Amino acid sequence: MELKIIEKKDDEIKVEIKGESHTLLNMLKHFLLEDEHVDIASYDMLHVSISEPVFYVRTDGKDPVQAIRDAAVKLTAECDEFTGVFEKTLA
Amino acid sequence: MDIDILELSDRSARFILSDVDAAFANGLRRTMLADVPTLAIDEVNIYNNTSVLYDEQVALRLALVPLLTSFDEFTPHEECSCEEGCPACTISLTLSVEAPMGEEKTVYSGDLVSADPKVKAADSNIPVVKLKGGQQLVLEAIAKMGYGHDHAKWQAGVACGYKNVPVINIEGCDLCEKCVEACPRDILALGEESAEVVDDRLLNCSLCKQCVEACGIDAISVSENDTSFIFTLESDGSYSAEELIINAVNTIRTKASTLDNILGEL
Repeated sequence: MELKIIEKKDDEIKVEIKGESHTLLNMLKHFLLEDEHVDIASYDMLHVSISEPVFYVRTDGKDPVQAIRDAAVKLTAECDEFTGVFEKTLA
Repeated sequence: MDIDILELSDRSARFILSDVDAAFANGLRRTMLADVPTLAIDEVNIYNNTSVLYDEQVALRLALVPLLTSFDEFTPHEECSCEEGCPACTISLTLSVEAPMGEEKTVYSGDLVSADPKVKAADSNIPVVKLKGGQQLVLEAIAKMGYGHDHAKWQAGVACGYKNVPVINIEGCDLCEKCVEACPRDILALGEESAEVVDDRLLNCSLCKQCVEACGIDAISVSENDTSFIFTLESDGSYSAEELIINAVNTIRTKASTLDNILGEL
């Protein structure tokens, strides 16, 4: 994974996330939209096989980088919860 | 979040994942299909091939043989610090078969011998090529750890999918039995006061809504539960179904924490 920031302001960010696809970005978008300080969270892939996805976040003033980090932490927590529940079910 | 395991065998699993969002369920499905790394043969050095197949064809067939993989012992080749392949991301396998004079012999995936006893063909009975008497196949194969999004030979999950848990509501039934006859999966039966869902048959509902159409008085409604999913998955043999699920979740977790770390360094 490699990040390239295309545009950054106080309340918005446009960042290219190299090597990632719908798999991570759709989950990330979902957790970002759960954040009440996030107005817009979306991503675009211009071409399905040759382009790298560009992620866009706009907030109501919250640091957009922090918003993405919060979403990533939420996703990590969701994974931890899954592993915990799955192992408990198997036991 | 809640998980209810319906079936779990070595190669396949079926479970209900509830209280999660479609985004997570779909992420899990996509990860199992394309982002859990496995070992597959990527380079073949042919020393002798007198079989009827071209070298390329033999190499392609070998590549598609699923290999038992230990997730933690190998690094995906594209993330490895080496460029040409090293013991951390590749493993060498050899194959040497000769058909005795006047006899036919089939080369099977089980004839591949690896340097690490833990790495071997997941199924030993996959035919590679049939040799006639005197024909020989001697080669060295280099297996690399790779991702399913680069080539199907690295795909760990082969039939992964989910559907929403069906919700069937019946109110004001007049016992006409039309819905029971219409259901192609025998999910409904006539109870004493109204048509009912047969015990344990609900999950077989395909949401075809033929019962809704058959009902003349709109007493039956079929919808889907947006936060519960019936997951079905099959592994190609590189991992057991249980390992595949765990590895997929670990892969998502690694991606999320990598992103968090990179953003933290900005």
